[in-house]
Amino acid sequence: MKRRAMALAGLSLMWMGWVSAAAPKTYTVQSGSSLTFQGTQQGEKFSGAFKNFDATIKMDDSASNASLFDVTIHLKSTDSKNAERDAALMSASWFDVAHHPDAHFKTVGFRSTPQGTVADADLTIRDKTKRIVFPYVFKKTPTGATLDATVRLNRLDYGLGAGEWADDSMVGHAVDVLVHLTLSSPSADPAHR
Amino acid sequence: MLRSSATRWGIVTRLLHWSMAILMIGLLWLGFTMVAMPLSLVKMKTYALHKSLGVTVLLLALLRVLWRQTERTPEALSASVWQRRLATLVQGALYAAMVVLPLSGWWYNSAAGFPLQVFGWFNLPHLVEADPAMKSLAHALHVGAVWVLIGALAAHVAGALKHHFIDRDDTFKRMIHMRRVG
Repeated sequence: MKRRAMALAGLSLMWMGWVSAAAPKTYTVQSGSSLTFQGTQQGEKFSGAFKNFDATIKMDDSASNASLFDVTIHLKSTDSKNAERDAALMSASWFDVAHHPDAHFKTVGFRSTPQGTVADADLTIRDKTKRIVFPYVFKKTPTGATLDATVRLNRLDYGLGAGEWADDSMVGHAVDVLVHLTLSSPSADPAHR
Repeated sequence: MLRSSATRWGIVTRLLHWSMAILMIGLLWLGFTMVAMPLSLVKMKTYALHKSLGVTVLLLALLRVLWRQTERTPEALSASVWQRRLATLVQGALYAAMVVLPLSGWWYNSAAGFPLQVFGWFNLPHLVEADPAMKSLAHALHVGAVWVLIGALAAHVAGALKHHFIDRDDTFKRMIHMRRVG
């Protein structure tokens, strides 16, 4: 029993050591970052931006599961350069901001694939949560890092434009979300120190 | 006869006249209906139909103006000089409406940032970038042209009826009849 306890203690120490070695750095989002999307309406692409969002980005060198992307998107800030379309997006058939003002994206784990590291993440829009694969490129820069990603969503997975709007001749089902974050110099994450 | 003569309208002009009359009156009705609709897929489809028919009118107007260059215009019947001048003015307003309404609609659509898909078939380019100030201006022009069209249409129809029932001449009949009149 004593040996087992010792072994457990040793393992715990090793684990703590590993955690501190892998302690992710917390980055802050800088101006010049953008969260945009591209959809199709009546045979034509259009794009829009989510101008207001909060992102917590924690990343360690090995993109271990201690890393985290946690983004809250304030949907009222959606701007697609068309007042009528933006008003429609706010309505009950689409984002329904009266009941669901925010969309939420949170990684649940990171893994390596032949194409590079990807995150698995839960994306919640309206009252629908779907686990998605999130391929990204994280690059360190002299002042911090950049995070770039493009992910294609099917709007119907999130109940966006259900019912009559499900018809894709007016509004296409596929929506590409483009992430470009400029991140400031990392600071060690106090929670893991 | 395909072409018009000194006394009668050719079949091409009569077909253009009546197809455009139906389209333009239909477009007025669609336009007033669609703006009053609550947001729905049907509203968007009604707008899409209005735009597609508007592009059709623009195309027919160009054909009509070109065709008019190739033929003579029948002589006006039993009306005084001022009435002929008024009729010409009204017809000029109608021709202007055929071109200004589709173009201002296209301009408005572009400035508002909407696509312009013709019968779900192909897309026309945006005339300008999305711009709220230009959108208001284009909208004012489109709506202004609508009221010019309504006024001109009323005068045009009134003139046709006056010729038919008061002057009892062939002005109206020769625009509908296939056979030789007068």
